[in-house]
Amino acid sequence: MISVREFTAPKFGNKPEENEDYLLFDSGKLKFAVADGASDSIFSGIWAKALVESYLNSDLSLFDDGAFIQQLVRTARDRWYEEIKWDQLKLFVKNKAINGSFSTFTALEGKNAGDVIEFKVVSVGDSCFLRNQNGSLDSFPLSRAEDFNISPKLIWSGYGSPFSREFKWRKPDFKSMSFTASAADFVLATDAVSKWIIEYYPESWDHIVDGDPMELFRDQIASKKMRNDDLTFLHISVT
Amino acid sequence: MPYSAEISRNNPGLFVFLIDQSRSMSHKIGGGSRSKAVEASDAINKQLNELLNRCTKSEGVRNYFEIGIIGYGVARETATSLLKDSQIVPVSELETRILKVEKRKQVIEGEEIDFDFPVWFEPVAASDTPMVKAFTMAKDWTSSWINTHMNSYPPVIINISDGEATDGDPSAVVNDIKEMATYDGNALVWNCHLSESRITPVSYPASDSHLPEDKYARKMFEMSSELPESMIAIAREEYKDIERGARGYVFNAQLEDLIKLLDIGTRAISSLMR
Repeated sequence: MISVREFTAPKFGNKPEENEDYLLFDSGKLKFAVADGASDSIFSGIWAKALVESYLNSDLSLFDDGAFIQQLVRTARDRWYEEIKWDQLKLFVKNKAINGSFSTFTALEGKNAGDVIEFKVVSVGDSCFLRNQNGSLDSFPLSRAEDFNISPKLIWSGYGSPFSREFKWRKPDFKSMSFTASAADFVLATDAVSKWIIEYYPESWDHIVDGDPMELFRDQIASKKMRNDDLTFLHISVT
Repeated sequence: MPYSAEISRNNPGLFVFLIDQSRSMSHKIGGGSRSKAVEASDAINKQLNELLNRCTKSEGVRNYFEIGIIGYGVARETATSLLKDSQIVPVSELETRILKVEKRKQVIEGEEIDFDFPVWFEPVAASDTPMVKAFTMAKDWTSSWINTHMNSYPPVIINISDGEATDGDPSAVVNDIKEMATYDGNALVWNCHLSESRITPVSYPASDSHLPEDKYARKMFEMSSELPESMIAIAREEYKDIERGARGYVFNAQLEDLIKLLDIGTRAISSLMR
């Protein structure tokens, strides 16, 4: 049985529509993804959403080793480009938007293989896949709290208008890992939550799987244990 | 840790620009083809563009900063706000104060792309250099601002001048500004020194032994604050030899160096923007 607990919220003090994180999952297809739009660029929230939706709402599979990233970026670029009303942008937005948008992306996908599930994770940047197993924590692609910095690897949307929608893509620096498991106690999370889980494990894990995340995160930020950032996680349990 | 306060719309930072508009600014910058006044106005326009760019999000410009701009020397013994009827304004208000929009070109991926470049200020080179008066005005503004923004990132005051004050020695009032502080640290004073001397440009010296032979260089250097650690780390990407204790002082800087000074400051600061 699969159960999923989801949470996403903007930085404390910001409006919900200013949240540049995005998450989506399909338990039936065993597909899960989170993305964190970079705050240095604009329309990053649209880009993060485009990446996640392009993966979830299509036949794209992490198991297609050769073509996945290229197909993901191309499909997401189309969605991103079409969503922005390029001819209605104000001066400063237009000048900045030409540089495109940036986002992290981390996805988990499973496929049944007899008595076990074969899992694959693909990640660009500092949104992490975390696994609680036998009282210890594995985290991918970053494993230490000090690995989180202000310049993570990112997926680029390509240039905005006046460049056309059909624009050559630039391959992002992605990492992947595979494993098999018969049960799962996993989290996908954007950077602030990932770093906090790593730093305060195992108590952090207990909090993630139970309790009110909003109240918890407010306390953690107030006590400087967590950065005030957009906060997103998916807790995936397979029993 | 100082210089680490979160910058947000509820907790904005402050930049105050001081622009020398004195007659001597009509002379060409050493080693360049344009007047110091043209360099200064181009620098302020580009720096304002850069600040607005940093603050621009999908829905428009967010007020992460407040801005004050003081011109000095447009008339005898005159220092005045260049933002009509205002002193310090939220950064988004600069959108409504654009003087003109120039069509400029940039080359991206081999394609020449048109873009709109907003201009707020034209070159002015008119009268004397009341720098003391300008810094006194900046001190008053900064003092009032700090009183209501104690939790904010400390104010940054950027002076663009050829260094030749005609109303006395600005050191005392500059020291007063540098003594002012929010809970996050002391106010920072940076100086962009434009000179007619054909001397090799100097950027971010840590001691006076690195200064050029220019009669105002030592004074401008001494008036400049040390760069916080976070800014030194970023400056080091461009200037490998920069030392701890480096000051926010550039001598005979061409436009790109002037922009870099602000870029270093705003990159360090924008990592704190929420």
